[in-house]
Formats: sequence, C-alpha cells, structure tokens
Amino acid sequence: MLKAKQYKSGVKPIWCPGCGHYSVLNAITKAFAALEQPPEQAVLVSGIGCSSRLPAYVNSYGFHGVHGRALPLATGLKVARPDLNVIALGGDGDGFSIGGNHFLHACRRNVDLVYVVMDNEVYGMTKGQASPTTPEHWQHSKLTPHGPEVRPFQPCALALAAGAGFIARGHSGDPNGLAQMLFAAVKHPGFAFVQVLSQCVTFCPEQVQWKEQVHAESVCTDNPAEAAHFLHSDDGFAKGIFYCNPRTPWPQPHDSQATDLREGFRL
Amino acid sequence: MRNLTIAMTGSGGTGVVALGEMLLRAAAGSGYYGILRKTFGPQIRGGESAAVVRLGPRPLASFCGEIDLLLVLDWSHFQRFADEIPLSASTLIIEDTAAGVRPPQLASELLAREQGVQVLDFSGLAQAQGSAHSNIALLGYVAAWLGCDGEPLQSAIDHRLHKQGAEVVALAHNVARVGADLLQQAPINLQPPDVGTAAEAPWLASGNQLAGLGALEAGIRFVAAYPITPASDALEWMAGRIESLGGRLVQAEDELAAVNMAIGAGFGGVPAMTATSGPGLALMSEAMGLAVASETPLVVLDVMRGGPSTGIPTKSEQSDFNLAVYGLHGDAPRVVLASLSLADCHFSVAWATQLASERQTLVLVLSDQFLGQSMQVLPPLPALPFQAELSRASLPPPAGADYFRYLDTDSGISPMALPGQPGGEYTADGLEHSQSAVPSARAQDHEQQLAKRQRKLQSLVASVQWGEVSALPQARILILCWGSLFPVTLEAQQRLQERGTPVTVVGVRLLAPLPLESLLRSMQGMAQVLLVEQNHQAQFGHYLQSHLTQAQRAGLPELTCYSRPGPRLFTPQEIMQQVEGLPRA
Amino acid sequence: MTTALYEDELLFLAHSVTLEQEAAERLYELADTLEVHNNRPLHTLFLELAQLSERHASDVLAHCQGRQLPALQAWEYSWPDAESPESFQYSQVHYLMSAEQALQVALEVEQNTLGFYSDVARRTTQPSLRQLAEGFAREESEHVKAVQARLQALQCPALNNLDLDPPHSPE
Repeated sequence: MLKAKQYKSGVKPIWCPGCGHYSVLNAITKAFAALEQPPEQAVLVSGIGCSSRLPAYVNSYGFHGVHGRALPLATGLKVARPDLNVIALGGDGDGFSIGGNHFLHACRRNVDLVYVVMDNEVYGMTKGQASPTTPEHWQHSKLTPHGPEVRPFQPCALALAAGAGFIARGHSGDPNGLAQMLFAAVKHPGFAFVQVLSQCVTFCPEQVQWKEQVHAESVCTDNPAEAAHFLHSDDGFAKGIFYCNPRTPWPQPHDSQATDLREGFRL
Repeated sequence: MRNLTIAMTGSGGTGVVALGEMLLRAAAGSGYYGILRKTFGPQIRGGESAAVVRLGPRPLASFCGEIDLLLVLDWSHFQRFADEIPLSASTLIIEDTAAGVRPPQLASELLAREQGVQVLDFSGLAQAQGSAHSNIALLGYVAAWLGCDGEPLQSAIDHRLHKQGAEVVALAHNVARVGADLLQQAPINLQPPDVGTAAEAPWLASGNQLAGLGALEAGIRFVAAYPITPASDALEWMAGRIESLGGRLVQAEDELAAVNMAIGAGFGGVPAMTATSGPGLALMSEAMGLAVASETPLVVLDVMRGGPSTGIPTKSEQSDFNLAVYGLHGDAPRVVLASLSLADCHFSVAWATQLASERQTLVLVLSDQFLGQSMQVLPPLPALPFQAELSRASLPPPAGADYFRYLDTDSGISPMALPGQPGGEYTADGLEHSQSAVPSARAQDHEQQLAKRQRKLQSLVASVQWGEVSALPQARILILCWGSLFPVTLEAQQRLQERGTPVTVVGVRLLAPLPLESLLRSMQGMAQVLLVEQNHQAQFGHYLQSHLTQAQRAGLPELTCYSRPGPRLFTPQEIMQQVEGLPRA
Repeated sequence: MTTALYEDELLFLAHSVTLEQEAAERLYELADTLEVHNNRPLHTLFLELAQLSERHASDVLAHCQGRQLPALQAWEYSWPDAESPESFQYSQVHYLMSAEQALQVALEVEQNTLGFYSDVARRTTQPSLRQLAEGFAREESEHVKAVQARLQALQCPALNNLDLDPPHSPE
C-alpha cells in the first residue's frame, strides 16, 4: 500500500507558485492512495495547457497528447484496455473550446473513465486569453480587450445535458474534499466529470477570492430534473457531488460467434 | 483470350447496380473472371446510376476503356456518364421499351449507326410475371447469353435477395427465366467473352473489404471509425467481424476523435487503425504527427477520392500523395504504402499493420475509390505472414537502472513499455523529449530523437515488398507507376508486347521512405522512363526527382511524366499512346 | 469538528501525526517550486522550515510508539478548515514573495495549530488526552515564538518585487 506522496514521480512541477493545480495533483495522489491504485495500472491522459502537464508529475503511465484531444485518446485506450484505470484531464480551454465536441460525446458515450477539468477560466499557458468559462466582462486579455462579451459555459450543466452520469465540482482550496470526489469518480461505473475551480495566480489573481465564495452543497441527486434545476440555479461556486446516476458503462460485450473472416468472399 | 465489357445504366430505382452485382456473381459461378465498377448521380436514391462489368477467362484487375455492350433500362441523365461509358461505333446497344427519351447528343449518332439500337421489352416481360423488376429480366437475358443462367444465376439471385423473403426470390427466379427465354427469339449479335477454368473456386470481393481482411488477419483489434465516402464500407466490413476476434470498433464523433482514439489504443499495446479519405486525412494530420513524435503504432488507410477539398467524393484519384508524404508539420518521417491492386489492398494493409507495431510509428496506406469500391472475381488470397508485434521492454529494469522509453538504439527502435507493466511507467508525449521521455527543448535531444525516428524506418527501403517489377528482357522503355495504376499499366504492357513493343513495368508500393536504390536498379539498361499517375501536378514525379542527386539525374534514362487527374480511370490505350509518343532515344 | 476528536486519544494522535507530516510535505513542495522559479532565498527558507517541521513530525510520532492509530482517508479528518491547520495553502505563495511574507504565513499556520491543540485540550473530558494536547500546544507555542523571532531578525525590508519581464508561453 503506497502513501499519497509515493505516487509523485519526483519531477518538479513548473506551475507558478500559488497555482491551484498543485492542489489537484495532491488530491489525485491522495485518491490513488485511498484506492490502493497500482501505479502501473493507471494512465493519466492530458491535452495541452498548464494543467495538462500533470501526468509527468505522477508515477503512473501517462499520455500528453495534442490540444483538446485528451478524451478521445483516453476513450480509445480504455476501450482497448478496459483493465486500466484511465483518467483524462486538462484545462477549461483544452476541454471546452477545442475539446468541446469530444466533451459532449464523452458524456454521452459513458465509457468508464474520469475527466478532471482544472478550470481557471483562462488560457494560462498561452498568456491569458479568455476561455469558454471566462466571465463576460473580464477585460484582461489583449485578444478580447473589451472582455469576451459572451456568456461563459456552465460546464456542469452542459455535462448533465450531454448525458454524464456523475457530475461534481471541487475547489483547489480543498484538496481533501477533491480527493474524496476523485475517489468516488473512479469508483463510479461509467463516465465521471469533475470540474475543479483551480485558480490561476498569474493571470487571474482575483481568483484567490474563490475561497470566500465556494460553498459546500451535498445535493447528490440521481434525478436529472432535480440536478438540472440545481445546476441552472447554481452560482458556479457550489462544491460537491451534484449528480450521481450510474448506468451501464459503454461498451458492453456482444454475443459473437467465432467467424471465418474469409467466408463471405467465397462464392 | 477474349474479354468483354458490358455497361448497364438506369435510374429512378431500376436497380442497375444490383443487376451488375448479380451478373458478376453469376458469371463468376460459371468460370468467368471479372471486375465491376459502379457510378452514381448525386441523389441518395432514385438517381441515375450505371454499372460496368468486364468479363474474361483470366483474372481482370483493370478496365480497358472500351464498352462492347450497353444495356439501357433508362436513358435519364445518361450524359452524366459520358466520360466513363464512352460509346464507340461498335458498341452494341440494347434498350428496354421503357427506357425513355434518348439523350439528344446521342440520338442522331445512334440513329445513324448500322446496327442501330435493339429495343426489347424487359419491363413488359417482368410485368407479365407480376414484377416491376425489368432489371432481373435483363439479367436473365444476359446470363443466358453468357451461359450462366442455370445454378450460378439462381445462386446469385438468392444471395442478393434472400433477405427480402421467399416470395420475392421465387418471383425473381421466374422473371429471370422469362428473360433468359427471350434470348432465343432475340439473340445478341456479339460473341460472349471466353470462359476460364479456375483452379479453385474464386472469391468475389471489393478492395475495401480486402483491406479490412488484411487488417484483421494481421492483428488489428481496435478500429476507430468516422464515415466518409469512399472509405465507410471498409470500416463497416470490419465492424461486423472485429468483435468475434475479441476486438472493438468505435464510431467516433469526428475524424479528430477517430485518429486520437486509435492512438490511445496503440499506446495501450492494441494494434489500431482508422480509415478515411482526403478531407478526413487532412483533419487527422496533427494527430498523425503525435503518433510519429510519441512513437505510437498507428495505421491509417486513405481511400483516395477526387480532391482538393470536398472534390469529387465518388470518383477515384491519386491526389493525396503530397498530403501523405509531406503533410505533417515538423520533420516527421513516416511509412507510406500504396495498394497496387484490389488483392494488394489485403497485402498492403496487412504489411502496414506489422510495420506500425514493429517500428512504433504511423503507417499510411493509400488506396483509392477505384480499388476500394470495385468488385473483382479473383483467385483466393493466400494467408500472409504479417503479424503486429511490438518490440517489448524487458521490465522491470534491473535494480538501480531506469527504463528509457525513447532509448537511442542502433536500429532506432526503443523497447516499448505497455500500461500494466510495473517498472515501465512513462508519459508519452508530442513534446520533444529526451531518451527518458522527459520533455526537452535541448538541441542534442532534438537531434538525437529526430535522427532516431528517421533511422528506424530507413532499413525498409531494402524490403523486397517495395514494389512489383514486371520485366521483359527486350524492354528499353520502363513505365513507372504507383498504387492503383499498376493493373492497367500491366494491361498496357501486355498489349504493347502484342504489338512488338516490349516494356518493363514497375509498380511502387513503398512510397516513403523512398526505395531509391531499387528504383534506380530497375531503370538500368532503359532508354526511357514514362511515369504515369492520376493527379494534376505529377506529385510522385516531383517527389522522385527531388531525391535525385545531380549525378543520379545525369545517369538516368530520360524521364517523362504523364499525370492527369480523375475522375476518368486510366485506360491501357491511353498509356500505350503515351509510350508511342515518347521521343525516340 | 466532531466530538470524537476530543474524546478519542488514538484519533487525536492520528490527526496530529498527519498534521505534522502534511505540514512538512507541503513545505518541501513549496521549497521545490521556489527552486524551479529561481527564488533562491525563499527556497532555502522553505527547506529550513520543512526540515524543522519534519523534526516536529518525528517528535509526534515518538508519542505514538507501539500504539495502533486508526487509518483515515484524506477526507475523513476533522480539521477546522479545509486543510490541516499547519499546512501552508498553495494559494499563499508567490514566486516573488519575500521572506517576510513567507514567515507571516508560517506564523499564521503555527498559530492555527496552537489553536487546534488548545481547543482539544480545552474541550476534552479525558485527562490523558488533555495532558497530551496541552503538551503539543506548549510545543507549538515554542514554534510560534521561534517564527516571531525570525521575523524580528529579518533585516532587509521587502523590496518592491515587480517582475519587469512579461509572462512567457512555453507551449
């Protein structure tokens, strides 16, 4: 049985001091310890961005793929190797902008994997552009100097509409609570989505205030209408497991007889 | 050795394609070899369509550009097919009474012909039996002429219609029989093709199906699929069979997902592929580069169609060459193969599957709509020795040693750890990295890894499978082609030989890395080289020439490039004309 | 906080051990990140604090010799706040932070821990547990004094630590 810190690879993260992602890394290692996860059986799959650097910091297998494509990478891997514990992760730009289409279909497809989005409402790696979750009037990006002027997505509400069976939100200020959510997410049969409000100290220093704004809500309903109502009334700072409605993961085996591949060609 | 080409056309649900398929199957059942291609208008159903069937005593892998017999169930929009069903003065035309108005462009020409047009009442015959299927009456008629209206025809009808129920099948048999009977009163003024004697019962298959067979037999067990014309049927063929082998096919939400899913599976040690066409391949480029950089096995089948952009989706062309060979950003060496015939779709995809695992890289196979969607009667394919096998890491490493995923070796191939193996944990990366898989921006790591990824493919240029050479001892002219132009070029060779002009033909299967030595060796003793390819910009021609040093260029025979785009298929006559037009040495 | 913590000595010890170990681990992590971000003086400071914290952790462990402590999941602890009281929160550091700022946070976490132990000592009805908690609280007040002393010993005022270079985009 490994302790949480033994899941760290020893590679020192390059995240800015003050970054919320350190906390998520911490939570992942704690969840692995609680799961008694053999490191060689876990694979962390990421896209591109600050948070996507995470796989290198854990001593499991990992795949640092291209921007926005962590979910299909993870899906192919899990379908081909159902024996592995596959966790896809990345940021809000990676996951909801370029990766948006894959996010919708991953929620719908319900492969047994976990998707953790470290949401700091900005493109940190490329120096602070607005992302799909950036507030409408955030005017600190040179690319959108007047602010996005477009409403941000509500990722948890999106996940519910797209069919996800496990929806949770954590906060980087509470790695222990997050570890618990990740533990539950891994155990959940099927696709599990965890949004983490994970502050960007460099481009969004105001996010340090999130600590005052988050509030624990132990909703955890299995009723989609109830969850929908909650998520649409939510101020975006509720933290907890909101929706947990397991259904049979995909794919399931079909009855298939052994086939002679060449049969159909013979006259 | 007499071959014959029969075209049939119709529209609005006349079932011309079914006619062509049943005819080919019936003919195959009585000793004919043949090849079939289909062509359509843009409608999903009820549009104009045509089928072309070429029959003969020996395996036919190409079309010859001549139509001996045209069967017309309906003339509507026939002009759409003017390019691909070129009528000559000697084409015999048989028309149904319900065929409607002849195309104005053809009408006068047809009337002027000596033999005119034979009009027969297939619709009437069918209706008398209580059926609307004039195509089946026509089928019986032609089958009788070919001598396959007995068991082979019945078998072909059963095969095609059994899902419609016994009543439909029985009716079809009746209609076919009355069609067959018609032959006595209304003979076809044309000698049927020669029948062959097959050593074993032949197969009937399309190139896309054979590509799927090659993949599954060589060990592909994960397929990610996004539909695109003309690749969808390759994916569909595999979907029905892969699970029985313990594998899985996933339909992805787009090509970006499909290719990344295949890479995920490959990273997990499961041989994986996807299939697409030009537009999809373009979308996949970023991820294909990821497979190269992260050294993850990946097979991508590109069934080429008319380009650029949406292009001509239902027609064949060889215009994705540049994309396949050059189209990845950065220095990203990869293997590119081209299928040389329908049967070679099986061989090339099986070889690709083995190579992808063996070299831990991207292997692209270029097929095209002609190969993918034509059906051929062919001798049963032999089992192939290709199997996907990874160079495995011996794990865990000895005490005190680390595992280096991207270890620089002589061969360039590093042993690969698979998730699940203790001691091999690493993070695969598109970022440049050191041997230990740590991201690196250092010059020495970049140079080392670039050199390694190129080096690991270089030995392929010595493969015996680089291409096929059909050499004639007296030949002083060499025709060079790649991919699907190989069969029609062989036919041109045959005809040229009959005319007293022996030529050698080389079909290149391995496009990248380029087997330059083997190519140059094949050209020794030649006075002329004619390169033929089906694209507008002589893509392979430029690629080949870019590899030649000044000295090599000087020592080469004179090179002439004949490249023209789709949608028309190449004909043997066209190639022969190019040979005859070569400047005399 | 659950009342169990005030009454169950083994549970209390489990909390104390984790509290000290997490504090030390967190300080090592922060030392690493400040090294990666080339803040040498603060890297050294955090390393010192980490090593100190590690010694405290050994001291607490010594109190647990031969006793079977309950094994708790990370989220099963009863901390006053989200994290254990002696851990720096990740959000409290900055690559340009000064020694003074770091020591202020160190002071804060030591005072939180002192508060935690004092609270247990005050509320428990178990004499042996009270003794234990009071002992730990006394230790902690020494740590508080030590940090206060370091703060006072600081000679240089914090300079205006504005980084003139803009952020960089590594990928």
